[in-house]
Amino acid sequence: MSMKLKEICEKLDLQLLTPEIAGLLDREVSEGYVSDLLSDVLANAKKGSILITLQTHINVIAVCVHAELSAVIFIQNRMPEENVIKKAEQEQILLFSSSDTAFNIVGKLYKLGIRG
Amino acid sequence: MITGSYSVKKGDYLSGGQVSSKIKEILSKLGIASEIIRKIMIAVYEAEMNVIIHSYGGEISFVIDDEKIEVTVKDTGPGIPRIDLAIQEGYSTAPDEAKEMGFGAGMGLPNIKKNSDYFVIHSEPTGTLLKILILVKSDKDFSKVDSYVHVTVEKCKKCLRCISRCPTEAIRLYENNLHILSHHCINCNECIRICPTRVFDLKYYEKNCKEDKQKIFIAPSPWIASVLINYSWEEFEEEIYHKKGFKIFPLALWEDVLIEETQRYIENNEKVKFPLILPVCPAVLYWIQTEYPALIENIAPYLGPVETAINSFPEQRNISFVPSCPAQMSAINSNKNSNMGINMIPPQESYEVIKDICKSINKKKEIDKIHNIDGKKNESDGVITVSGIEQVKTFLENMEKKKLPIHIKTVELYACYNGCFGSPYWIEEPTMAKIIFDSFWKKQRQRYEKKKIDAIFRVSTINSRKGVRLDEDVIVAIQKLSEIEKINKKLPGYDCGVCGAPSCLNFAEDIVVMQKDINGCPYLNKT
Repeated sequence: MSMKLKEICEKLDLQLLTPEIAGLLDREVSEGYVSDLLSDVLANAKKGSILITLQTHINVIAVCVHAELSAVIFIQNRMPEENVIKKAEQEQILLFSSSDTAFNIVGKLYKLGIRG
Repeated sequence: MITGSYSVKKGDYLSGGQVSSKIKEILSKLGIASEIIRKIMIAVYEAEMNVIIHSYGGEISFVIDDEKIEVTVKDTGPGIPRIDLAIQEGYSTAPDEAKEMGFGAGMGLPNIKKNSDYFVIHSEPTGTLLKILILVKSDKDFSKVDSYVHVTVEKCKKCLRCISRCPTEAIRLYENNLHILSHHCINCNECIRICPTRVFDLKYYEKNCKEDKQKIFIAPSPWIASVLINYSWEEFEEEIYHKKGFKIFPLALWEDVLIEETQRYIENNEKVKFPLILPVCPAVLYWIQTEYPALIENIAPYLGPVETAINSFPEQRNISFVPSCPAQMSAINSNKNSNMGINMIPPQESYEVIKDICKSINKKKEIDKIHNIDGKKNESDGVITVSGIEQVKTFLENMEKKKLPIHIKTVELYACYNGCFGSPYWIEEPTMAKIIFDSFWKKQRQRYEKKKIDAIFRVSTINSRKGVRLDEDVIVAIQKLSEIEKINKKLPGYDCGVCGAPSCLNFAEDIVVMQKDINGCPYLNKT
């Protein structure tokens, strides 16, 4: 089952960190991956996935670009620095932040039909 | 062809991914399939992070042509002490700083391996060299082995010896046209050896070496032996450097290091499949790929001595080598990188070099007396050697049936009797040549120990070779198979070879697959 990022954002009460880039929130997502190990993300995340992680540094964006992921949810109110958000905007990757734990975020996404 | 090169700084985590992004931009412009781009990007990004995390800094360069992208990652040290461990998932030597960022989980090299079609890693304290090759077109098959045997049909007197001699039944003589079925050829020397009129020879490829200050000459042991018989090696070596600029490195250096490294591998790994086959003879490896695929997992995970030798000089534009067989040529051609310049000297020509150099040095006054002959390389290494095509065939068959009469840890298999000394290209009698060389090597090896010699871990998997399938469609293939059986029953079963195929069964196959005429059989209709 696939779902628009916009819907996910609303249903999980996420905070959008990147500026609203035209059309990106309408991107459909059907798969997700959770990991704080970036090599693991590279090796195992499927193309187009949404990534749930606690890492907020600039390399996360590079990993998303290379593994062709569509969005990132930072857990437990973790905030990336401004340059990370800017880079994500350039690379057309949406960044979200959530006050929830990784466990709960994944559970909610699973309930919405997102699989990994 | 498109090339490029970028430098990577030590510890510059913030720039991680810049090089791979630049390469991605280029690839996207070339219209390469996105799945392939993704593979390349993951492999290059991991390599880039490795340079940032582990090295003193380095450089990433790439070459793209219409078939493949080749990425070379070079750093300036400190090297990877244990490559065998580093390519295992979960092994990491990364600093905490990297681990906090989500790297250093021991997945870098395994990730690179997973996403590349071929990769070689070579490491010394002065630097690590990683070469990644990813095919842009997916139809190229790495289990494919080309035949490096050249056929001059005009010389053939139709004696048919080669047809029955070829160990993989790869030769046919139909309608006066002698040819090799390249999907069966294992590049051994058998047809070259047996042919009385020299129909078969090495297939030479254009020399692509450039003028370079340093000319490296990787000298095979039989070639050195033929100098040793009449001349002093020290004088010869000095003279060849003086006259031709060749700096000689005996190939035996890499043969030794392969044995030593394999020994270490056995000690450090619990799950070794015995007997371990040393990849000394590429023809035997091709044979295993072709006819004994179940034994592939017994091959020690290193490149052969010849491939390792050329890759020990990755930046040299002028490396000379004298091949002893088509298989060595094939091994070099599939393992060289595009920066190297290789000068393949035909064995006949290499004798001319010896003659030319020896004009100006003195002949030995008396022949060497060699005492303490023993066939073993080293008392303790426990390596067993089997040589000669028939002997190797029996050994491989027994090994496949698990019928070896003794427990063997490590075995060297050579298609030629006494290894490369028995190649038909070397004129000295192989047993004597080998004794002369071994005795020389025992005394002189340490002279070459200034150059650090490493074995190279074979990271790409060896695949079994796909034979020709009778038909793409399974149903048609089964029909053809029963047709072959029917025809085979009609044939007399003498396997005389007069039809041009090595056996009646081979002929029956060719009748069905290549539309040959059954009347080519001399016995049919006449009995």
